[in-house]
Amino acid sequence: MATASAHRTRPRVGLQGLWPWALLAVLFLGLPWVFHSNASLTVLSLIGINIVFALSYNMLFGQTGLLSFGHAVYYGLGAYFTMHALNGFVAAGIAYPVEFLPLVGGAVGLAFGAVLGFLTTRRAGITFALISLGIGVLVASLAIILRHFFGGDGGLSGDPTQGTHWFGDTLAHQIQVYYFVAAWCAVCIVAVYFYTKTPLGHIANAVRDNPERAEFIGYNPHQVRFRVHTLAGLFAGIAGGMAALTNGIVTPDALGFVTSGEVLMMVYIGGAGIFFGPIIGAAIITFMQVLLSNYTNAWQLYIGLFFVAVVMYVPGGVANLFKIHMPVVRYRQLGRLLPAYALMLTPASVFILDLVFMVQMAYQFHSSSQIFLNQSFSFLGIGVEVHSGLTWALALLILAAAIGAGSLAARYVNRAWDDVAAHIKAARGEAP
Amino acid sequence: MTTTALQLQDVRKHFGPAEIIRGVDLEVSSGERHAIIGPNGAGKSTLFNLISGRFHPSAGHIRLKGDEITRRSAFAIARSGLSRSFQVTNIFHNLTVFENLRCAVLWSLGYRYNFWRRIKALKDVQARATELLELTHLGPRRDLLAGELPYADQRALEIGITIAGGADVILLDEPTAGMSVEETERAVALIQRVSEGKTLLMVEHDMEVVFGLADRISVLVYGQIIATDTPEAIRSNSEVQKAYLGETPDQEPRHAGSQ
Amino acid sequence: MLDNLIFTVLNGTMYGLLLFLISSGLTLIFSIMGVLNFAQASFYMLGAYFGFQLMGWSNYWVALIVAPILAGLLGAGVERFGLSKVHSRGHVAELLFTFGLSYLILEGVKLGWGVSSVNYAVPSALDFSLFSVGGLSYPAYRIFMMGVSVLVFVFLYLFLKKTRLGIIIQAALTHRDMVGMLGHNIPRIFMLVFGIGCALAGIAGVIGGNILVTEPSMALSLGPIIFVVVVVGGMGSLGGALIASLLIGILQNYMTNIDATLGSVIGLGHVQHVPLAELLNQPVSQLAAIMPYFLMIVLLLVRPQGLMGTVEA
Repeated sequence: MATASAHRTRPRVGLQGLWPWALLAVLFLGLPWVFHSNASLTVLSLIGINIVFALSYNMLFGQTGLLSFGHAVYYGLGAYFTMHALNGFVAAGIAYPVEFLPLVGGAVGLAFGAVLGFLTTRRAGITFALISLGIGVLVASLAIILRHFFGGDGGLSGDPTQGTHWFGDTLAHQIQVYYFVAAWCAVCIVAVYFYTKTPLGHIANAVRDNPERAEFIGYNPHQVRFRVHTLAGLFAGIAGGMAALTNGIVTPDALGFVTSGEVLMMVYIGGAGIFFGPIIGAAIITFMQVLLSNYTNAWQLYIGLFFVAVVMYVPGGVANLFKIHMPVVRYRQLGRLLPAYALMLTPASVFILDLVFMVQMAYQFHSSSQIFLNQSFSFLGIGVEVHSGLTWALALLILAAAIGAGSLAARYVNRAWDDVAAHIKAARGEAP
Repeated sequence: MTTTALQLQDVRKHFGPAEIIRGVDLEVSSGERHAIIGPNGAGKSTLFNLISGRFHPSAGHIRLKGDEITRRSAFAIARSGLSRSFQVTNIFHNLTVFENLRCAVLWSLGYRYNFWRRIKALKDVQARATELLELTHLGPRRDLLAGELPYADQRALEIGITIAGGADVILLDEPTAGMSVEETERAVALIQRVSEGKTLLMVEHDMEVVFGLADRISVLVYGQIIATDTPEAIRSNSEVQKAYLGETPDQEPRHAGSQ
Repeated sequence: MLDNLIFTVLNGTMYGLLLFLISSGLTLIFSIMGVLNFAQASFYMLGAYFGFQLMGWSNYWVALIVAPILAGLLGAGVERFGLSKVHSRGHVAELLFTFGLSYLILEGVKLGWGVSSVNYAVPSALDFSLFSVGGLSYPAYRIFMMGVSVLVFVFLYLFLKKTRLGIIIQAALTHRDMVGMLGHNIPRIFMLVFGIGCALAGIAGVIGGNILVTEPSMALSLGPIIFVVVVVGGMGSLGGALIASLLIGILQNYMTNIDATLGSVIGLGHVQHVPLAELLNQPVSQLAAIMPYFLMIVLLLVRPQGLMGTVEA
């Protein structure tokens, strides 16, 4: 969805200038040097795959206004077909380079994106969302039934180190996997960015904003959505292919609702109205998934809470948070905001810490035995009594206090922003 | 030799039991500036919706330059050279002014669903959009988001989008609605500029605008046209006065009907 | 043969009425608030779990009354403290909020009751066979379920037609903006409507959770079917939802009784070496669960606005 820009800035698709691209290049090339353990490289590879997946999703959502709950279908089918291609080429001795196998996934994503897209894009809005959900469930169910192709619950596996490689013995080491993913990711980022600059990319935006008016300027919204859906399927399929080759296995989850929900959350949290939003969102969510799951069982709950918080309070996503501060930095008004932010820091941190504390305490509750099994647990190195009603009461009290203090601090933040906005308007020579 | 640009033949439209358009016959000649006036609820916007394909007539025929467009979809009609503006501004609010105009020229310049060329590289698109920008005097607002424009600029953009595709038959639905005197003057000047050599059909409540611009006027009352004639004839038509203007000939209200 | 048919119709109606209970709440919320409650099936799940817990603490009858009320109160609370903040941002934001909510409810249920199914059983008072047809007995509980469903609809009908608030809600069904302008307290109406919608799902959960399995994935498996119901019936149409619910219910039950494979039913016998062979060799009973989605696709092709929906402008 498009962001409501509070200021009359020029570009609304990208952040200004070349620096985001430079930053991206630096990160792509530099991160594997800083984080060079196999585990880190795996995470970075996962992020790269999810970036492509998320960008493909945002072609539909943020750029064309199509909310899909079943986008994982194209990702998953791309993954499955790629795996079949890998195994098939290896078995038949066909010298197709493994590094280019994601193209198979892409072709499959394109084909299904076209066929299913033509059907489903006849409707838009909520009806499209629900239909995409139904199709997603249908395909996931069929994947279980068609065991021969999909390998049943266990999925399909393959060895990407087998077969022909054109770039040395690619995919044998984690660092090579990383570069494989990074290369495809870079290509796809550029390709999707290019798409946003084409006539179709612009008309898709118009159809998003006002499908009726788009008709009156000569465009059939169904045809526009259908084509975008096809292209989105292409990139989702490539992402799926990358995933298959990176993980060495594809399971039915790849097609399922949970995966579709994840990419939606990535895009929304990152920011659907800005090109780099999905990139940021993919990084954040992948990181949270991998990191948090090491520390707590509650990681899915945290991601859910984060998502709901973004929906309620940061509708433009994390990328938009950056974007709205750019004119502030440019007009050197940051100094006015910092004191208010500092004031907000304490209640906000207390709130988050307390919430985490309560969630972690709750997760000591063992549902099967319906009691708190452990008497106490350790939170940040402090032993806490879980049974004690006093602990809970105190935690709730602190939460309430944090909310109260936070609301007060929020007023200061709002006032600071009004101040800043007025100064920026003056600096631009606009009427107040 | 004048050709008929737009013809309505016994057009009817009912919504459920209510018949809103009850048999309208109208012929607009090529190059003519034709205004439709009438009290609120007469069905003027409905008539526009029927002509432009937003919905279809229950009966009757609509012909554009001889072509039957009665059942055609809105985008097909737009492609056939008929374009309309909206009473309630209907622009692409999250695109800039320039992008709005650029999108509006794409189809007419032949760039269907192109996704392999950068739009900035399409010289003819850029040129035409810039031309429209100048025509509508929106140059200074080029890179502002359309949704944040002041009202009068949005109306100008509305007209700009309408004429962008080079349609020969232009329908303007209350183009000066809600405007001050100066804004109305500017809008009228714009309308005169853009309708040069085209066929113009417009709905208007502002009688000064109507009598100033129109070659002929049709009066729509309760879904039927009760008179079609030159402005002077309409002004002195007693039936029209009775049904609509409600004033004697020497007391003409500036605005008839409500805004 | 006839008794099979009778059972199919009975079971199909029972299941269809259950679907309608849930989807009527969804349609009510959608028609009045414009919000598609993605978490509707989650409240169905909560109804089942609350029912299970309350039945464990006291008895089924208490559960039957209290669980839906709890679900409704939770729904009202969600609207008051969460969803209301999102209304100004448009329908997509509201939908995303309820999507996030469904996620949170799922995690909450897993936290509270674990990831495997719980033994939510039919109360012994109703666990007997009511009648027999041709040697097959029909459980009383199922008739009870249908009875409760019908009773709920009667109450809903009376509420909408006879009470002042109900009439306001009816007006809001077709003229949402007008109702606000008439000075009625929209936030309060929204809270009530959302609460009632969730309570309806909750009732379905209490009465259905012991027949169908009560487990964390129940919302994820039933949710999409509810959405198929409203798409097939036509968004915003209660009548359409009823027809679609019964259609899906009866059709599904009819299919679960057919052990023959899909291939043999369409005259192909056992199929081999064809890409979709496995699909055709599946017994029809196994395909009953995905039939609603095929129905949705067919309807999409033939009548995109749903059985009783209006064509989108």
